[in-house]
Amino acid sequence: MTGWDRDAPGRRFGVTVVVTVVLAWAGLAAGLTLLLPATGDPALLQPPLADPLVATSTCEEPQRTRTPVPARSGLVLSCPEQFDGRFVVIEGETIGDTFDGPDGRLWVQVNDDAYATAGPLSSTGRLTGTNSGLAVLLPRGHVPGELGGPGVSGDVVRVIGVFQAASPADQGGPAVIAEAVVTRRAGGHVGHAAPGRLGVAAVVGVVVTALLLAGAAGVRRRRQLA
Amino acid sequence: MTLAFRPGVRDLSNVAVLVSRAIAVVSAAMLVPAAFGLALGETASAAALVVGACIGLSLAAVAAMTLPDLGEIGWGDGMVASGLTWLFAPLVCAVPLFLSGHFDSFLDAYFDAMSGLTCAGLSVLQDLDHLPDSMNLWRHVMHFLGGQGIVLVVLTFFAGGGGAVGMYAGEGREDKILPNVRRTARFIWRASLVYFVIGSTALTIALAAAGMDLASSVFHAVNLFMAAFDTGGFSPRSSSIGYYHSAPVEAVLIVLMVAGALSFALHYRLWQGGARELLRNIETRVLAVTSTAFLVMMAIGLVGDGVYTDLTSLLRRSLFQLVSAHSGAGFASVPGVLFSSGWGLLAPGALILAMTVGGMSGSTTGGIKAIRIGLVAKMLGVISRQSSLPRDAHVVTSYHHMQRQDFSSDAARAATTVLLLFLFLYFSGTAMGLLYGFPLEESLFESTSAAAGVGLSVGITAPSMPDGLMLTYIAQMYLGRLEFISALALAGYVGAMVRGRV
Repeated sequence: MTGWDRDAPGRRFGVTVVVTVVLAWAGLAAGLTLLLPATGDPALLQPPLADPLVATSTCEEPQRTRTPVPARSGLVLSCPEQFDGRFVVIEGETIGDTFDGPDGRLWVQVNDDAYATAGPLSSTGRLTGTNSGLAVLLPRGHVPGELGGPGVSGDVVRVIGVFQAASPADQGGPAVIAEAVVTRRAGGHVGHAAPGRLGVAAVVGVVVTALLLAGAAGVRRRRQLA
Repeated sequence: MTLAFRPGVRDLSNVAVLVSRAIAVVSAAMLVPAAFGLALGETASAAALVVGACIGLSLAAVAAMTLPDLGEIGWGDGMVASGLTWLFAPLVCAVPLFLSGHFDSFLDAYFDAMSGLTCAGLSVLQDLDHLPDSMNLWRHVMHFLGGQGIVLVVLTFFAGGGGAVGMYAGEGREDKILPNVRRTARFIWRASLVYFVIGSTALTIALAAAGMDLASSVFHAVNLFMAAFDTGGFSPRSSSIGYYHSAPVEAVLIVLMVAGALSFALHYRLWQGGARELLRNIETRVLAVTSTAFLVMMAIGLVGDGVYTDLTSLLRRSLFQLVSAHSGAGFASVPGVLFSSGWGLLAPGALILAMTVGGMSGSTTGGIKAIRIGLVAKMLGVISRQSSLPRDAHVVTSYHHMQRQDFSSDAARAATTVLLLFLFLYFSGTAMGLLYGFPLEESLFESTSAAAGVGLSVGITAPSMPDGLMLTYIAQMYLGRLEFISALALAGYVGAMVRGRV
């Protein structure tokens, strides 16, 4: 009978196992913070926009005029009935890809979250929440410049158009049907954060893991021979 | 071998070996997106994935060196191994997510890893739209690993015997498609591969036709396939499926989500040419009834509230959203916040009911499952008929589930028990949402979405959500995925270990 074939262990063993596992993972999670990419590299932060859009902050029904209401996606989607059919102006970063829309126009996503103006999180390391934006049907003939994505800051544009809570152009999706789009700041490649300590940890990790896996293979061979 | 509720050292070592093998599988899987990241020049992201893989593989190597070879494993050991795997695998999967720098804390990253593996699809990741592609791929690979079953991999390559059955059942799977679990696991992998080729090709074509360039189309198609077929719900962009503005993309996804909601036993029968099973199976009948009822309910709500005034918009949006909720995929073709702010009461109510029910047993969907709804409905029918008959009369009935089966009160009792446990899970999460000050409707929606592994969100799930609520949703995703039994077995194991006696 080996040690592994003993009867059920006592309470001390059980408590020790559970506590050890919990502490080990808590320690590991704490240790991982040391490997996080450096945050807030000023070189990678985008300069603030001159004359930024000051959006309305209440759901009170906007005036039915041709004067566009400065708005944010979060507010518009929180009270879609109040904004439905209204002339709005939004400002944000063009994101991802373009898609074919009706009448030869293009769809694009315009995000008006904090990353739109400060720059991508993967470049700046600044956590400021989740993405938020609206689908925009661009005016005919308008092709956006730089589109945001991994390591790329998209053009920041000001869009003036009509918000539709259930746009017929998108068969029911909410969208801004743009009449004018002005590029406020050109986007471009901003690159990714450098791996830094994470890169060193990866190299060390590969070496250590290779040794451990070789050790495990050796143990297995010895057991098979035995 | 000892009883499950008083584990011996050998039992513990068996469990540890099985869990370490599952961790090795998920860790090795990180190397795929890591290589992709290196190819794209995303060095920080690739390094994060490599570090995660190294931690998991090192743990597995240490376990292989220090623990004895796998001995005879019992059903209980398999159950507990399954329960532990679904707690520890997300820990390892969370490492690269956390190191990506897109999460506030390790708890946030663990939330997303649990959500990815359990195929829930809720997320607190920040700035998804700028996330490196390799990390985005890893999120969707987690769906694939969780949906196809980490345990299935272990079964395919490493385990057999009673413990294999325990691990398999511990994942909330019940169908034994082929005579043994290992062959069943291999069939599931083969079938998934075929769907992968067909599904991602169809999605690539649909995306390219919508105007996307080919390279992006392939990348998005692969990710969307994994999220749809495994009824996960992550998507490569923050605006989910609404991002693509494409009816054909939504149509392909509907087919994949429905395929994901069917049990692999039914897939096997269909592959063998047994199409009649679709018409006779109690689960497909239940799903046909519930889908129709909820779709009508949604349509009445959306038209009544004036959300949609034309038939095309109504059909496109409601059908996609209903299939997404019912299958547990959790894609959104409109921003989720609209469900509470712009869709009235009836339509979100239909979505909640669809999420509550879920898909078929033996699939990757969450929720109560159609078989249990069918059995409980049968039981109510029996009780109703019994009450109109003489006291000594005995009502005999049957149902079709792959084969004709006699209705038994034991099966009905088991189904009712799990149904009640799910309702308790939905309501307890709702109560926690209310405690944290969220409105009832939104709390119920989000809680049901988490517990049923759906992933639709009306906005409560966010990086700013309280840690207590985040832990609640993590527990809901875990319990919902495992359908309680292996989690209860694990609790019994740990309780016995800590008490030191039976």
